[in-house]
Amino acid sequence: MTKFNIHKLPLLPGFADTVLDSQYTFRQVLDAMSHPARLIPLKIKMEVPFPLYHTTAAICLTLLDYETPLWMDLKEKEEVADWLRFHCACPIIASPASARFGLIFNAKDIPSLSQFPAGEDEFPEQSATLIIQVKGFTPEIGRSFRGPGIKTAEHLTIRGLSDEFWKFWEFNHHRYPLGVDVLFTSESTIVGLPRTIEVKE
Amino acid sequence: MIDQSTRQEWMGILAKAQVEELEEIWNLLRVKPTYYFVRPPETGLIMIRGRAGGTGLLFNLGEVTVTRCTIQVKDGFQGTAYVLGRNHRHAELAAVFDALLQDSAQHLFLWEFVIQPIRKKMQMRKTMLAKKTASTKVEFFTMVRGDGV
Repeated sequence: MTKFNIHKLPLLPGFADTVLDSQYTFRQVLDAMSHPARLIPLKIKMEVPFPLYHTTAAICLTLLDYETPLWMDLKEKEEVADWLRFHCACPIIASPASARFGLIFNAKDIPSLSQFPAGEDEFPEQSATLIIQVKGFTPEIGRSFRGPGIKTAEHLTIRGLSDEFWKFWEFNHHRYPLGVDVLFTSESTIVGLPRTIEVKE
Repeated sequence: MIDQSTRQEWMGILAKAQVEELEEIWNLLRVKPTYYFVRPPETGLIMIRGRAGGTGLLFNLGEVTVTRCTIQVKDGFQGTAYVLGRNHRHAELAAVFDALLQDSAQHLFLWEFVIQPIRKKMQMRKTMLAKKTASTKVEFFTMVRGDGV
């Protein structure tokens, strides 16, 4: 007979209002993806397990379900995995190769983007979306972003992100229409970076 | 020590209880625990399967509504309930009692005071129904042809 674990940490609740909060989050994610490199506010009131940001947690609750395998670079924090499994019912997998979503907490040490599925020529949408938690954003200075959704060019510095990411990004952008899409999250802001965007120093 | 099959048993009884019974017991509780929703009651559909025919093969009988709920008692246990139907209060109360029953300090009392009476009532309802059904039973006798001639 199996004994159930009675000394687990209490599980935290999800959205206070499932319908309104997830609709609002979806709207902000849509905004972020259609206006790349623009700072989009995402403010949700809820308690989330460390080290998830509120923004990251809200995006997960909105986009993940049982059909979206998740890979994350956080092995030791069972609390986060338990919370995601309970509220999103998403499988958490060990290899990024079959993930539909990637959750990256350590933006200083980003795994190569080519490890994630980039879709196929017939089905480019069957690719992964990465959610990367960063320290913050400084608009109007830094790298230039060009592409659909940006009138001329946007400038943005993403704090706490390794420079190596941009090497991966160059390759990712050149694979278009294949490639992964990225959502950067800070404590209360999100920034979208779809594969269509060209980034230069 | 409480094991999984015991918990399954009480979860089943709480799920099959009538919501009025649970409400009545809840109102009688002198110390009511404070709790919050980890997952507020939500209703969905599940496919129920069963051995419907005489051959014993599994058959999709149809979809039924199910309401589930998970609560966390303050400084206590987490309770979960899955109940048939759309009664949110039923799922909530069943989850609360599930959490309380896991607490060994309250387990015995609640087992005697909540689970046993509900089980007795359920059994009574079942016997009543069986009796009612049995009373409609028709016996068919076949006349034996040419008997006694």
